[in-house]
Amino acid sequence: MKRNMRKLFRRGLLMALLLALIVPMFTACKIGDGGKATTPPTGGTQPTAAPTATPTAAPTAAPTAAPTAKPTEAPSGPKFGKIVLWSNEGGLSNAPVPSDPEYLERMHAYVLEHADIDVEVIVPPNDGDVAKQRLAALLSGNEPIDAFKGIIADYVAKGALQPLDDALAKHGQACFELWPETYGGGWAGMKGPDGKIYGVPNLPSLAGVTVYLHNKAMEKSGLDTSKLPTTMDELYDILKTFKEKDPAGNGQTIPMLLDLRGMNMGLAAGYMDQGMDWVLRGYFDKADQKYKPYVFADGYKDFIAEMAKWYADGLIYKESFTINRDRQRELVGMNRVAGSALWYTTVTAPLVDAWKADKSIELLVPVELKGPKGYAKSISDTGTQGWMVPKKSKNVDGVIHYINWIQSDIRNYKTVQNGFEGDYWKLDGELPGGKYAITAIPLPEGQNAKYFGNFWAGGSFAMTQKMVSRFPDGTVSMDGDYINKHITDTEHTRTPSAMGFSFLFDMQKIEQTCSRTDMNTKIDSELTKFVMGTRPMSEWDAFLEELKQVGLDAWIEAFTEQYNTHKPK
Amino acid sequence: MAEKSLLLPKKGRKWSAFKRHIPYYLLILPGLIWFIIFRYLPMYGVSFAFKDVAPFEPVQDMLKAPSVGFRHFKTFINSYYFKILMKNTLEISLLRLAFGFPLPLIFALMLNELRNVRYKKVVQTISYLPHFISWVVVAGLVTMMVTTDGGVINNILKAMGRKEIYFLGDVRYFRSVLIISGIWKELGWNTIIYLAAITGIDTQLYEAAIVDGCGRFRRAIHITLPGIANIIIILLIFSIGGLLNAGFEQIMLLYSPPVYDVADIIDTYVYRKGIIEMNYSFSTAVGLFKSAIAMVLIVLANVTAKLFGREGLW
Amino acid sequence: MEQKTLISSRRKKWRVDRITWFDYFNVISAALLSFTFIIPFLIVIGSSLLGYEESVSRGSIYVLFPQSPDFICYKILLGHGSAVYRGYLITILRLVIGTTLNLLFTGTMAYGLSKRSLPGKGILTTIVFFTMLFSGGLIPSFLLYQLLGISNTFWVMILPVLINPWWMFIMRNFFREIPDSIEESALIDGASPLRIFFSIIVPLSAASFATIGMFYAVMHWNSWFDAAIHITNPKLQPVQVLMRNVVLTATSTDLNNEIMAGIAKKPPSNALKSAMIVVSTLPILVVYPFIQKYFVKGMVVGSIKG
Repeated sequence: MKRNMRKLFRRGLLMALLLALIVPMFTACKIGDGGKATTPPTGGTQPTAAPTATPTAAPTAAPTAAPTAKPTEAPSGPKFGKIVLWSNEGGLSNAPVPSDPEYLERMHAYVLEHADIDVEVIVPPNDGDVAKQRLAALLSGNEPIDAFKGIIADYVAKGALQPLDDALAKHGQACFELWPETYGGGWAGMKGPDGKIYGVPNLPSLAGVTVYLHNKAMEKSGLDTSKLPTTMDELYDILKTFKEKDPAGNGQTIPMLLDLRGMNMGLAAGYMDQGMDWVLRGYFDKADQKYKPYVFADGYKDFIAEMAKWYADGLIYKESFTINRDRQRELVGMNRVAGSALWYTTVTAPLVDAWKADKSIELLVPVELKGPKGYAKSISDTGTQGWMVPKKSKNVDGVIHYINWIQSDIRNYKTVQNGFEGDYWKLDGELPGGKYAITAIPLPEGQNAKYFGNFWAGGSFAMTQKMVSRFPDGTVSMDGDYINKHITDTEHTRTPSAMGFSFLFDMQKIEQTCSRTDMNTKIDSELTKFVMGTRPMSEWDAFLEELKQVGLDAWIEAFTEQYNTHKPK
Repeated sequence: MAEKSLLLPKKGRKWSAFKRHIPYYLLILPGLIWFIIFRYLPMYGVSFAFKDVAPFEPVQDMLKAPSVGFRHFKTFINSYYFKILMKNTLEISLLRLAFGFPLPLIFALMLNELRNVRYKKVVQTISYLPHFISWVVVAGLVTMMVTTDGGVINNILKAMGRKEIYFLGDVRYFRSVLIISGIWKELGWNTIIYLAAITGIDTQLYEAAIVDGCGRFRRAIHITLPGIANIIIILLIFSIGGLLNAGFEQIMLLYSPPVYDVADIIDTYVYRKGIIEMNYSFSTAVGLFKSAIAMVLIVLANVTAKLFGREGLW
Repeated sequence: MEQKTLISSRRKKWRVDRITWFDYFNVISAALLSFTFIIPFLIVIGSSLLGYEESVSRGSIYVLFPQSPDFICYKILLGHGSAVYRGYLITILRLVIGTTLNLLFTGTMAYGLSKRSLPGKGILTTIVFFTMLFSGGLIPSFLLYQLLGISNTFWVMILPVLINPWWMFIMRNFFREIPDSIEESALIDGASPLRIFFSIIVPLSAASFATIGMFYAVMHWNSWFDAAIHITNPKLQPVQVLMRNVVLTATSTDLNNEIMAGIAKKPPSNALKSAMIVVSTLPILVVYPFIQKYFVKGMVVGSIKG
């Protein structure tokens, strides 16, 4: 027995020795090993050393030989080297079909010539989760992307980004000039806790989520399109009529298509003392001077009870909370959606063709829609969304130069957004007030555009506001119409508690004590259950109690501290 | 050969045995190296569970991050999700066991009683088919069958005048969908073992029973079942050992936020936390926690198997 | 041989029993069961032919019989420029290269370990066996592949799954069945174990190689998760990942830009999903009846001896 043990021990020792020998051998080997399978050295301890000459041995890897030398000392390649763009500006996700490959070639050449930079575009998958996962893999991978759009705070907190101050100082004049002071925030929201700039701002305070009623559906249901609902009850009645009259036929009508964001930003404020904040997901409770998750807001329970009633009555599309934007767009495009509470382009984009064929189609915005406590729609605070450069990118100058080039000239901007001038748009000159008149060139019937903004980076609402885009017959597209009339409407919308300083909240600090995602996941999941009726409203208080186990107290404490720190004195 | 080596002194005998086997070691070496790199090096990576690593650092720097002890484990065990995840994982596994375990056995017995051999072959061949289809396809088929928007089952419900049911988004039905689709996929395949065991039963037993005037039903109960009891117990014990594997792939493909409450299992949580949210350390800790418990379960299963007097896994 | 006598004795047994209600019940329920295995596939085929117009008029539904079959989905999936071809190419490369390497690594290791006289056999077996009990987990592997430089390459689908310990042990048991006398005579003739392995053992155990190889092949064919998380380059995605994107998230990004850019109306997502399922399962449905008996054999041998 004893001998056996000793033997075993000796064997174990031998094994450990062997392991100790083999493991380092292999970690040393790995670089040589990697050579046969497209591997740039992993960077190791010198991440900033010269841009790697990426060996592209895999047969299907990057089609073009990558110009790799440093931007400043490239004798042959483009002056600003190469950048890889995660093209999630929005044009593509709304596109009915993909861009034409040949058109993309031309656009690539155009950018190469005019901006002196080689831009490779990655088209993100349309599904949110798949895209998120792909992006995460790209960000942590060895072949990083160079620019993408997103909520800055989410990525700063994880140390995923590199500061842009130097690059902006060198190449970013136009970016600074474009963003007007009047938007407030913006650049302030792009700052990390260390005071450095991590993004190029994208959106100001907007009311992009809206209730839409399809005028044709109303007409077919025998409703008066001039009488838009002003109360939730009236809206309910209209949806009920949709359900009964079934304007789409075959029982296909969807009286109300919404998702969690749409429901909360488009309707919830009517029941609450303040607007909804879908970024921070909270509100300031004046009674006990605490910043709390929105589900605690006075009246919010009534709102969910109302939504549950709508759902039970079959007014809300059954699979509303599980489908992705692609499916939402498909449903809209099939003319099944009579009413909706979604981001406006989700509804306008799929109807573009139908609208061009029949310009009497209108998406009606019930501006006066109110709940028991006021207007139902919320306006967001200045976005903390922007264009960012991941830490692993080696061409931050190139990215900023490219965005600056785009933002420096309306022509550049329109070209990367909508294609070459003359194809789908034409610049008609400057209007008084510094705006530009643009003519949208209509497509022949039954044809799609060939380009949907693959190369579009640095999208900025500031630029959108500089354009007045019309079709030759003087009409304005449906989304343009929403932008002109409603998107910055502060009169008929409610503002969230932390309006004007919500973008200053230090998310990194908050996440040190609580998990925002755990809290959001839990709330999302339970809310959908309440609305879908799989959990009775009588358990609402139990639900609020459960949140304590998800770290509610830490959440409230962390957010309240941030609120008090940044609240204007 | 063995005789020759006996003549040598002990040490030399060992050495010569080793030398004689060098070619075999060379054959084993590539596999061994593979195991060390792809199975043991990641085990080294579980040290992340005791650190706070930043996801965008090079891996070498991650390994150098300072230790935070068991903080992530504590956070997980104290978190709300711990209870939910353990509960879901175990409940889904047990439900699978309760329904998924006896059905193949019953199906095997029924197949065994089919008289026409050719018919039996056809049924078998068809029932094995879903095993060869990936979960992606099965999940696609399931969504098609159960969607409220024109799905076959809801169309039938509607035709019967019933209200449609949103199976995939309803906490009351989601697990049924999981378990039924799981059974659908593996039912036929899981009968193979039983059918093989049945063919191994001594036919004389049957003949004796027939002579004694035993009907078919009694023969199935008294001869067939005891005859394959061995394999049943082994399979049962080892499915208990794998209790923490509640079917990651299937759930990943089918679940959505409205049903997280009943569908979120440890593996999906690890995936979301680690790959999507990039909380590498925390996610590794949760994964390690699961691995450790799973290992204990398997060892226990093996001990139990031996207690029952059966041959264990090792 | 044994099997045959068994069956014939069974048949004798049947003759003893009268046909009862149970037989009818049994036959019918088996038929119904088989039907549930087939019907989803038929519905998928029917739905894949749904056109945009019909889906607008009849609603987005799944049907057995479309009124006016529309082949647009197949045009997208099988037309020129379709990503399906590239996906299939990757899948087939993965299957062929992967399975070959699997067998090479598994076979050699199993053969080495099959020698009962091998010193250190116990330790080696334990090393392998331990990996069946405990694994490093998702994130450490994820980072390891990045460190090794294989993430986002073809090899990330091959190397991490080279040896399945369970199947390796099954194979080792196969080898142990081979009488030692065969090898010994070869050894005496002066052949090296390596040569013996390739020239005697491999041909002798062709059946077991085929069985285990087929297990590996099915694994490669059906895998998607590894590719989905370790590969970001859409051009390296196997057909299963493509299918996941189309079938479960209705994502048609980069599916066939050439054809999609030219059509006026995207086909309904139901139809596209269905067509994708048809296109990606058809090969296995065609091959399956011919190969399934090998699986069954392997499964039986593996389960009894493993």
